[in-house]
Amino acid sequence: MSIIYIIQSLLLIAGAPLFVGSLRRLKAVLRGYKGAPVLQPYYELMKLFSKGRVLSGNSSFITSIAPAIVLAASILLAFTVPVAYIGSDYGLGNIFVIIFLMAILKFMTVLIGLDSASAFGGMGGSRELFISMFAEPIGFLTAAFLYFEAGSFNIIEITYINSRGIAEPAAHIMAAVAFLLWIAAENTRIPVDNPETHLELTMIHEAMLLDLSGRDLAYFELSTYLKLTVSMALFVNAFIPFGIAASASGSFLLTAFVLFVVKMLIMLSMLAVTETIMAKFRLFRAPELLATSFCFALTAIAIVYLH
Amino acid sequence: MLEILTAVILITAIIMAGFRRINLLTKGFRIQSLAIGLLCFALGYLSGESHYYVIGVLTLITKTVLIPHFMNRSIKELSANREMDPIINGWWSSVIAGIFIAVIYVVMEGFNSDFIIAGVVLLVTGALMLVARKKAITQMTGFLVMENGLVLLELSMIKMGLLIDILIILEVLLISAIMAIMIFYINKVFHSVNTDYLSNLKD
Repeated sequence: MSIIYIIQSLLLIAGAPLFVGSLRRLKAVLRGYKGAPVLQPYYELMKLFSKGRVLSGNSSFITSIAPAIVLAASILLAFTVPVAYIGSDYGLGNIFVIIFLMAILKFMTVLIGLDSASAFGGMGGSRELFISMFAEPIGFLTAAFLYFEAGSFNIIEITYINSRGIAEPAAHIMAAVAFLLWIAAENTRIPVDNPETHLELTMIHEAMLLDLSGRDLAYFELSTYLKLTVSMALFVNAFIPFGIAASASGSFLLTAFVLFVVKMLIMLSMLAVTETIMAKFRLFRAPELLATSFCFALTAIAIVYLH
Repeated sequence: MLEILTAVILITAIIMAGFRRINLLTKGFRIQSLAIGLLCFALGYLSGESHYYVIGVLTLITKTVLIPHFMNRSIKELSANREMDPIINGWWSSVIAGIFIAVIYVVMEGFNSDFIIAGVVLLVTGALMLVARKKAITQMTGFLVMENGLVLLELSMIKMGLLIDILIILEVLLISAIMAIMIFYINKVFHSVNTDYLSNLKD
């Protein structure tokens, strides 16, 4: 395992709150107010680490162990995604490992929502699983599309093959749109969930975290930031991977890194524009949106598989 | 460029199969016709023949300007601007459209031109919208999507005469004008365009 992989994954972990801070700053600029500074998520995490924990008397051992499991799973997730350098040792990076790590995250979050013995936690958990019931087939269909297009299940090999050239651009664009809708559903973004709501009856993801405080909340917030950054890095590297560095020389690495940051900033601004223009869909209209995305993924596979 | 436009056409077809608001259907149809017009221009530029440009200009004028103008004038009077309960409901529309599209790609495996398959996809999606809805205005939109599919089909055939292209486009224009006028009168008599009420005319 080359040292450059470890360094770039550590940079991804350290830079995840910075990405979320710049997303919030972009949304504030679009809405016309000044907004918090870009490093604000770091200050929030440091504040949360210095606070004490308050545990409910009815919770079990899950509340003690789930935050650590969630943080560990999200840190492991950051190590399986390519950032700017793809070498010739394809150790980690199987797509199914990525999908199932995200499933572990979701499962432990739902468990801790149920464990807090409040009604909102159960409601948030049931809504989150309802939406993921429609969103998981899209994730698997996109993984199948990447396999049919590139011939491998390893995300690092897929990035390398896609950066050489794309055989069917029409199918590629449709699968990219389907994957964008999947990102919105998995990471609780608009149009599926409003991440900055304070009304509990409209929450889907935050309702499960309502009862946490102190260190546990800091772990969960960091894992949410990491999951968003890793999903967007996955999109950028699987669908628009031009300019990625295949050799470890200095100028290639620098160009690939700068291109990665530029692509992520463009994706963040698209996300900010979407969150400012649209409102959240009603909960029972979300399956229609996800069924449309399922149809896109199915069409993309049909185009690629039979040509 | 051709591939991006094909992707836009397929995306708008699948999205329109799931929409229920009428003004969104009109906008989707406009974007689809714009993509087909730009596709005609790109094909004309690539192959150097001039009759593609004529089809492109005619498609843009009729399907982006004139037909949405007719549709907007006839739906201005409508009180309910969305399809309340279609025959195939909600997310099943999109899923069934996806299954049909996969079946089309299986059946037409031998063709290697991209536009024939996209044309048949538009035909089937338009037929789905035509059959599975109850309001006359959405059925009209389904018919127009089928006509778009026909234009895509004839773009990829051997060079047909210019006369046949102009005839097809004028036919679409006249039929949609007639449908818009009829929808206007149906709305005036029944105060809704739900075609269930047309069976009241039976006796």
